[in-house]
Amino acid sequence: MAITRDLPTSERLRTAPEPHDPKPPSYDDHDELDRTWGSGPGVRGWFSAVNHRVIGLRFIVTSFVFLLLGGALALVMRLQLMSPDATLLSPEQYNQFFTMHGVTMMFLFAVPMGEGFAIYMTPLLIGTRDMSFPRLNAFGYYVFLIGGLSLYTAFFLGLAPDAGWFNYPTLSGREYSPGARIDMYTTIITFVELSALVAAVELVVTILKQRAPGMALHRMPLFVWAILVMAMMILFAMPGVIVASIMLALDRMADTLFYVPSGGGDPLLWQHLFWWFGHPEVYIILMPGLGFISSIVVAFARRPIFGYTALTVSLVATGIISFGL
Amino acid sequence: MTGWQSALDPAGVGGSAVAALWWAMLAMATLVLVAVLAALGWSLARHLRITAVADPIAFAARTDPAADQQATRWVGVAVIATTAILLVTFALSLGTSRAAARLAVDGAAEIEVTGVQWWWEVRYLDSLPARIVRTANELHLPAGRSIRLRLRSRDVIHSFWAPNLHGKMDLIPGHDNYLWIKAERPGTYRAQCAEFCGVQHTKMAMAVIVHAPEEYDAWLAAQREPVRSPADSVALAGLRTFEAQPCATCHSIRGTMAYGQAGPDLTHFARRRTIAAGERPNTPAELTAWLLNPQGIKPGNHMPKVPLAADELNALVAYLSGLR
Ligand code: HEC
Ligand code: HEM
Ligand SMILES: [Cu+2]
Repeated sequence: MAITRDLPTSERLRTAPEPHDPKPPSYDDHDELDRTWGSGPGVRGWFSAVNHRVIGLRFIVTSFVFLLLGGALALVMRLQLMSPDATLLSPEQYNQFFTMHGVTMMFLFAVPMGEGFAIYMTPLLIGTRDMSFPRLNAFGYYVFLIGGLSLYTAFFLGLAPDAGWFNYPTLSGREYSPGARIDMYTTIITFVELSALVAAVELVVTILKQRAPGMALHRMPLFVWAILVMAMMILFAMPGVIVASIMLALDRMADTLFYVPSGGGDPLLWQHLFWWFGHPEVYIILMPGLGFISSIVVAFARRPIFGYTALTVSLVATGIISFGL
Repeated sequence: MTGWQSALDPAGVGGSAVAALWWAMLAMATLVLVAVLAALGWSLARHLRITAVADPIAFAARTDPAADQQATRWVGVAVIATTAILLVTFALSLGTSRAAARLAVDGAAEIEVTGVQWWWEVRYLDSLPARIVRTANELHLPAGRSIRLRLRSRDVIHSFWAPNLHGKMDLIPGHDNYLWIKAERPGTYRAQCAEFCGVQHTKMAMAVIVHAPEEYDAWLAAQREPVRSPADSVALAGLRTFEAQPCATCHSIRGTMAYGQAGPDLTHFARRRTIAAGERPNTPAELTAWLLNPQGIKPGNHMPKVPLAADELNALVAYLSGLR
């Protein structure tokens, strides 16, 4: 594989060797890959990391931190609920706490945690060097991180959303929730779900296009099947809540009337769009867990998985049925 | 499992259907749990036997078509059992909905329940507008009669839930939702708003009183009566205060100058059991506390603190406590 050093990347790609080049890769190529995908030194390098294991781990660590934050909120709620009419939290604060808790757990912990494991493990399990779009991968992480940090910044600035993680209009409409709280919700949800979509696109492409030679779909580890189903579900589910949030933002800021009954809108529309996402959501969270179990049991039982086809079919069926029941 | 707000202590047709479904699902879930634990125990025991084998790795790597076939059979059994459970629960819940739907009858009385942040308006409908009774925060039902509830909302989404009598149904602004309900056992039950509706959602409850049919008819007839004018001078002063103060712009009392709509109708207020949507018992002391500072009892609710002189307050309490 002779790579012409002094040409720009685009040229190099055009003069790339035929696929059946008999020569084995040389150390030079390694250097080349390193330059393209390596992180470089220092702080700048840290921020520009694109390797899937680094990004996957960052997803896992970051969402774990959000789990701790969401857990801390839950503990305060439980303290408040320890006795009737306790005054630890005012009613307004309690509403912010359970909304922050729900949003954190569902959007900033459960899904990103599964994505983190998926991003870390999938390339290793299917024998490819990295995710299909490593830079997009890093982009997805930063979108998630910025979304999460914005939510907690809003919380500490006294702008936490307070209409529940489900955020039903008309309660979340401008009439009953003036102020910026709900605008934080719509913005952050759109942001974080964009990150989930990015991860899902990548996982689907990586799994479908980059498996090692010989790894037919029916030989793929069950964990990868679970991740494939999860990613497909994200692709279909998340646009629902993104569209719903954008419409709510328009209602609140641009005087549209999507959810305003007095103007011919309908709050039921939000419920349909939201639960088109919300119901699959819990199975999106479940899928990586099913993948873990299938891998762990197999490893410790020292037997190949039994009923591979049945398990695969049921993973796919769960993914599909979750949209309907 | 008994209680005035318990789905497991049914007092109506819908409630009984829901409770039966609950018990059936509990039984099935228990069976599944036991089966899964048994399978787990069996495989643990088997594991202990295998580790006692001289060469466990070779044992694990062996092929054993007979054992595989047996395992396949078990997978088949599990698939069939799971599908069966799914279908049975599906059929059961369909049955539950049908039991509730069978309550529909022609010519049934209709009661309209409207959710308002954070209280309930209840109207007993009638083909003659003059006979319509408007009250608040209490729902009266005749035992043994099918009633059609018309559920509406004036502001945000609420949900009507009287667990002893029926499952939940949402009150959605812009929609009329209907719930057929048939109470069977007279008594007092509690309904609670079951959809987060803002800062005082927790304290949005109401008493549901199930009467024997004749008693219900008598109650409704009494509600249609206008209130008697106050007998003593203190109560009369109370009425004057009510009409002069902002009270009348938010509350209505039939037969007086008060016809505000923003707050609960107070026509037969003294017959009600509670104040502020189930939050406090309706006693003169609690009423005084409420009028002194509604925001202290339900912070954020839509009744402002109205500054009242001591004699005005006493007069108001005397007047309101006499509204039978
Ligand atoms: C701005 C409108 C407004 C004004 C003015 C107002 N109220 Fe109210 N009132 C309400 C609302 C709304 C509620 C329901 C509060 C809740 O339970 O959330 C209420 C509840 C009540 C209740 C309890 C009713 C029940 O069935 O639970 C009483 C009694 C009452 N008000 C009396 C008064 C009196 C007396 C005054 C005048 C001093 C007054 N209100 C002034 C709006 C008002
Ligand atoms: C120790 C662990 C936890 C405790 C003590 C806890 C406690 C609570 C409490 C007290 C509420 C509010 C109930 C209310 O007043 O309506 C709540 C709501 C909720 N919790 Fe948790 N929780 C825990 C873990 C989790 C986890 C791991 C998740 C998800 C992955 C989660 C998801 C939610 C959601 C979605 C809501 C609803 C929020 C809303 O209504 O907007 N919780 N939790
Ligand atoms: Cu409510």
